[in-house]
Amino acid sequence: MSDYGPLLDALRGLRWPARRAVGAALPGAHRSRQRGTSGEFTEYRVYRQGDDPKQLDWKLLGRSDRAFVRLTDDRAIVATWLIVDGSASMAFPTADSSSVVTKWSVARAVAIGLGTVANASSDPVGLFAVSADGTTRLAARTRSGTIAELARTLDALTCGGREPLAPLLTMTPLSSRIVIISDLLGDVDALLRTAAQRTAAGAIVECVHVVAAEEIAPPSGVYLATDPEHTEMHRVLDKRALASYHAQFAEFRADVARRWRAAGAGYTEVRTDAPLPRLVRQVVSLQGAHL
Amino acid sequence: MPWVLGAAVFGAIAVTALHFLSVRRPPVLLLPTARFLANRDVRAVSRSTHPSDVLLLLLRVLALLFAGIAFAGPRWMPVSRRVVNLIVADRSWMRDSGALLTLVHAGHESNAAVGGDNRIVWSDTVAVNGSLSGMRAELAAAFPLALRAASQVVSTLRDADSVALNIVLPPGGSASSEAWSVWRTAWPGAIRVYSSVPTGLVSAPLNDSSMRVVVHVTSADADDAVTAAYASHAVAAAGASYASATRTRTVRVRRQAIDTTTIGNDVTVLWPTDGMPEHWRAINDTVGAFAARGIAMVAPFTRRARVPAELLRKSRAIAWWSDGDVAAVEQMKNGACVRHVGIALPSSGDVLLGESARGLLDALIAPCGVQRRVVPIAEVADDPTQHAKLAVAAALRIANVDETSSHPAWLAPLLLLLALTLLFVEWAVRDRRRALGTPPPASA
Repeated sequence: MSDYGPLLDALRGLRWPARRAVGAALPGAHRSRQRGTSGEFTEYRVYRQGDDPKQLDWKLLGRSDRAFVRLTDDRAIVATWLIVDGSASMAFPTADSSSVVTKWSVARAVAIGLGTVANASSDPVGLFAVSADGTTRLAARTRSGTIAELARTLDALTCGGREPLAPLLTMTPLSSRIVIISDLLGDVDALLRTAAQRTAAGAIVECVHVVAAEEIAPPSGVYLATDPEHTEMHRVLDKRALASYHAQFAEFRADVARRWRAAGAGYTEVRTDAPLPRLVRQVVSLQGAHL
Repeated sequence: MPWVLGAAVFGAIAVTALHFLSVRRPPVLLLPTARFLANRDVRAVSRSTHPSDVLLLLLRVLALLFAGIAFAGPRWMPVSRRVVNLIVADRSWMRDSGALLTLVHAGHESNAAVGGDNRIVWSDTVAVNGSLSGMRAELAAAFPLALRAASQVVSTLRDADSVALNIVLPPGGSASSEAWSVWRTAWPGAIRVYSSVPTGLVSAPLNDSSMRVVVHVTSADADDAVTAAYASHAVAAAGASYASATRTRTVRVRRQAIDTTTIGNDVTVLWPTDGMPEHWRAINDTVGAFAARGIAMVAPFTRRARVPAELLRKSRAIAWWSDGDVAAVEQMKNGACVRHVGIALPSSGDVLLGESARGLLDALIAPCGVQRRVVPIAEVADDPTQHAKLAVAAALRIANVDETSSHPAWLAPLLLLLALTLLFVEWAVRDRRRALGTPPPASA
């Protein structure tokens, strides 16, 4: 946990409001779709038959002889579910030493950062993670120590396998914020399809696309590139292949960004060579805007 | 079949080039985004400037070379070079072959030739043409004989490496002719030509101060011309040194038929008065002259006998008629020297008292055996431009069907077995690497 200390310090005071009004829930920091009786005025609406007469603004009625109902928004919490991809492709670049920043280390830090920000707003934070150890689940909790438990759980995992992420989305509540932290090199189509369904059903889906700097600029020289999740795939990486690689990979990133946003989900691309606090702030503040 | 070996060498070079030019698999890099790379041949990129797999390269090249050598007909040659010392000499040297070898070796500069196998080819041609009868001793005439003999020798001696050709000319032989130049190009190496040179002068036997010559002439005729001639000749030749002689050579001249088995170690001259020695073939004609030791004696002679060819081969001519026929021969018999003279003299007269008879008289009392040496003829022997080295045996070996087989016979099967073993090892190495998952080189 101490490894994340500087990151958590940098995120102190940061808020992460939901992109949309959330459903009815316990009082919290997010705007709720439920009109309630809170003291914070929102708008007037013409009185309609069946409205509670107690909501009439009698003073306005007396001054203007028009019947308006005084509306107020409720504030509610929203559970934040972090779905972290720990497949084999996330262990890149191959860590020869602990100083190498891998996609997995960035994904863990971003997850903990986002969880911390969400937890600071009293939102419950839950976790689904796929790794070499299979699927790991932490129930969404608000209590203190949630973030520490989250960090311990993620640190104990080892990248491996190629478990699909899409089934995990269906296991999250509809009235929640789902944050998918992945390199999108696995079941991206199924994941996107499921995310679109969850978004249509009312969930708030955020996609954090982790891209390694070494993927954008592979090492020079001649290599036999092998996909860690599909070891039977061998492709030649050399100067001639690099030009088309850049084009293909850029097109892929642009395409997934477009498709995620078209599905109503937020999309943020984070690179491993950027400072971690900035990555978290980008996800939190831009709300799915382009980087 | 050298072309088989050439093909094997070419194949080995090609295999080596493939190992240099082969395309190896590049090092593996785990890249999750590998799917965005174009899918093309993974071996068509990386070229190595070093041999891709030295072990496999060695196994393949050795297998090819062994197979090529096996099919080319290998010959096992000992490390030390075997030189055949071929000497062509006339038959007059036959009785002194040891001395001939010593003389030829003494004139040779090459140690290899001196230490090599000695093969002497006796040449009738040289002997007949090289006689002192006035006919020319033609060196070129010995050449076909030398070529044939050399081919036979090197074909028999498989391990022969080179041939040193020595041709010994009889006295007065000539090496300069157009035929010599023609034949010279046919011999693929150096030739040493020697000339036989008598070591003594005409009167040398009698001038030897350490040798006392006693001539006993036995004749039934008191007026025998030979008796008279030696009585006068010995006194004239001996001079003052005659008295101080320490050794004695006795020459017994028999003018009548005797049993030769009783002859001792001295020189015996059998000179029948009728001019017809025993076992000679009888003829009857006239001759105008004879020559001995370079001195001709001209007189009307009746020739009664001719030396049989069989006897001539065992003898050495010491006097010749003017037509080239042999008039007197010398023969070693049971260690004794016997000279036969087939010259019929007039029953009486001073025909042998003249100066022209001195050659014959000296030849009859001269020491027995060949007293001569061989001298290299420099202008023929030394040819630094083209034929400075010994002839290579392979160039002289007779090509036949047997050339395609190996020598010794087990050599080719052994090489083939080695080649097959190497190929098996190469297959095993490749199979093992494949099993271990090591990416094989592209050339494999």
